[in-house]
Amino acid sequence: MSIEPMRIFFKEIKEPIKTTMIGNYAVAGGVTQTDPDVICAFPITPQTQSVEGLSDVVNHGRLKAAFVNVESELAAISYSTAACAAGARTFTATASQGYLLMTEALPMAVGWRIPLTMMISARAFNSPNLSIWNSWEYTQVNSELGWNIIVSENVQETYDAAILSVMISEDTLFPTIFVHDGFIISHSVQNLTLIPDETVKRMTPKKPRHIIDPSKPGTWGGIVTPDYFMEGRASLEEAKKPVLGQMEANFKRFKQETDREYKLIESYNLDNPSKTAFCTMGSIAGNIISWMTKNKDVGLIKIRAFRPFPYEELRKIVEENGIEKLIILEKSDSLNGLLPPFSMTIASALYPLKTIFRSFIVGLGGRDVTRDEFDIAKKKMATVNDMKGPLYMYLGVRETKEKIHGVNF
Amino acid sequence: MSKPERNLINFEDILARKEKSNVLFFNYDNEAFMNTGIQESGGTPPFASTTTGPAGEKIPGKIGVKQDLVTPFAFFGTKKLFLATANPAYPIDFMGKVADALKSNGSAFIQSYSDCMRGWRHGASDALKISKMATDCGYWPLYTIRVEDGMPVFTYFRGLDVDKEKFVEYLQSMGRFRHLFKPQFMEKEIDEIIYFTKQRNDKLKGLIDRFGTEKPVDFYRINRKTLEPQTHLQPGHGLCPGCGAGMVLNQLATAAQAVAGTNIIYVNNTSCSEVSTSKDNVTSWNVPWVHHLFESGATVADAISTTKKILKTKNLYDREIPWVIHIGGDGSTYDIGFQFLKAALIRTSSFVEMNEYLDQK
Repeated sequence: MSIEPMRIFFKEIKEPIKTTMIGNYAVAGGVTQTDPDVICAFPITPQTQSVEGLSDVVNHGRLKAAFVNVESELAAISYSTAACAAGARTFTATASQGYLLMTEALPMAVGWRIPLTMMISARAFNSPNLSIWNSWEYTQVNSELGWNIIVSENVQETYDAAILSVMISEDTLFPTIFVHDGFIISHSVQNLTLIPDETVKRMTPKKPRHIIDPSKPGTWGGIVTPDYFMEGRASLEEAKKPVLGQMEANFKRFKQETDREYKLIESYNLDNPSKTAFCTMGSIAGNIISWMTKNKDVGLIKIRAFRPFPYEELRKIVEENGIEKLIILEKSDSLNGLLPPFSMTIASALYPLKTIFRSFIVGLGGRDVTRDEFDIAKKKMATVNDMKGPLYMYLGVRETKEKIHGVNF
Repeated sequence: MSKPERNLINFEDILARKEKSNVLFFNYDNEAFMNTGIQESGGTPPFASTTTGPAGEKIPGKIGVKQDLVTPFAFFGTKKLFLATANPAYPIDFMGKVADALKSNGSAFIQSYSDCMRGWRHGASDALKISKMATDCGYWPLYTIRVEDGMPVFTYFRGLDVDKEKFVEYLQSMGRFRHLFKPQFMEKEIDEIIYFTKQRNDKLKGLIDRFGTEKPVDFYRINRKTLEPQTHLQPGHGLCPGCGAGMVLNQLATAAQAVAGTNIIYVNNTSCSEVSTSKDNVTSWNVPWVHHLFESGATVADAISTTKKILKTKNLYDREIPWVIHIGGDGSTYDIGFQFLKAALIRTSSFVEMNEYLDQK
């Protein structure tokens, strides 16, 4: 052990332990408890400590695994995909530019139905400048390739997601990404409760599956003509249908074992007089909840399962609670005049309900999302009663040297 | 000067060895992106005409060099590596090298000449003749580098001397060099190709002198009567008549089968050999075969080999560790896949040691 926060994972965890830790080490610990066979990643801030922590447990003998340093993210995802397809429980991690570089190999992991898990410490893409800080890059690209994506709000959630992702991947035979906001969660020390090793082991058994092996020869990833390609795609779509149900079943199982409850979509205070709710993901949700202690007239809908998107669940929540207006907050933008990607998802899911919404682009490149901004968003939304005019705006952009606030609709 | 001494290597002796490679990386070099339609690559020789570097009235084909891929690998700092060039027109040497590579610890890279009658513009029936000529004229020397504890030992079989007359005949036999001869004889360009080849071979000779051995000529001996025909790749694939890759795959699989039986996994980069042997529901492969991306095959092969070993170390795999061969070609090795090949080659010459550490009680 040479990384102090990893010390706790070197002794068997027999009882739930309350401790404090940054998100990345919590993930490293959670992944360690799932007993991966291969870990392969390429360093990129703010993901690095997660794999550093894992190399620590491997090199100091806590975890028996092949920890492989490769030459790029495309090599990391290729290596991880192949290792997983050859029978290894495999973990990788990335962010931002690394996720873009992985793009070419991401569809194969879905097509081969491998239970690979990947952590993303969400970070902005470089444009027009380099930023190592938080934006929701994972919503801007690759979200339709078929990976499961779950998003965490705090350190506890991301630690749990490291274990839940293994459960979900093994069950669905689709690769799973779990996301936390870069720096805001990855590098901030928060309280969490660790799960006993024995419980994790019980929740994440290594199940037999079809692997690349001479004992059962097969041809993987060969060429197909137009006579066959569509059937392959349609059968993936078919296989994807039960995934949300499988996710829910695993959340339930997780609750039985740990007493911590997760849902595809979580909601707070929807029975409010303004019939209005914020809708967002990740660390902003925690911020809003604390702001809501003094703002009880607005609710919150927090998306935990971003892909596959639980659109029926969302419709049900909005309909049953009579929500008329949504304030969508997201950390990604759209330079083409259409809605930014998270809002696009929400808008298409709620199209039949014709829910009124406006989208606020906040916190790009790690800028703090402040309670003042929630106030502004709430105030602006109070005057909106239709879907006319621009549907999104930036909030928190510096207007003059001293002045930061929203621009007009 | 006395005749250099031969180092006789019997196929049976190779098979009897206990050593085992992690991955054999194999490149069939057809000197352009053939699967996409004869586009110029880093493997294209100077002045060859391709569809992205055609012989024009101003520019006579490829401007640039054919990258030297094999020799530099000896100097990347690897610990244990088997490196060789091969040519299917010399099948005994070819199959001997494949078996030798698979039966050597560390990892291996073999680069084979691979005729492409469509891309090089000649008749299908000339494929073997041209392949043979390539080594005889000095264009494709056959040599081997065995890196032991970081130090290379250079040996060769033949083809180190450039025979100018044969070389010109070699160039003339292919349509891709026709513009160098008609409508006028382009002496400067032809001389330049010859010079390019000579300087490369001179460097090789220097390395053989410096890092050689007492018996510098490797001479493989195989009893062909006892050699089983390969069953890894079934007949009925879609390669062109006279395709060099067909000869290469056949000889590669014959030697691999003698070593590994069916305990083997092939990984193929996107290439002619990939698209023509895996189509739809009629795969030509009887053993596991994997295609991932154009460039990532070397990484995938390493991952599969490493995975089986770590699973064995964790008592999660009870079979014998399979052999793994990675096949690249059509520019996937020279260009887009080079970074992957380089890194995987270097990694696989040290993983055995890492696994040993993990095994310690």
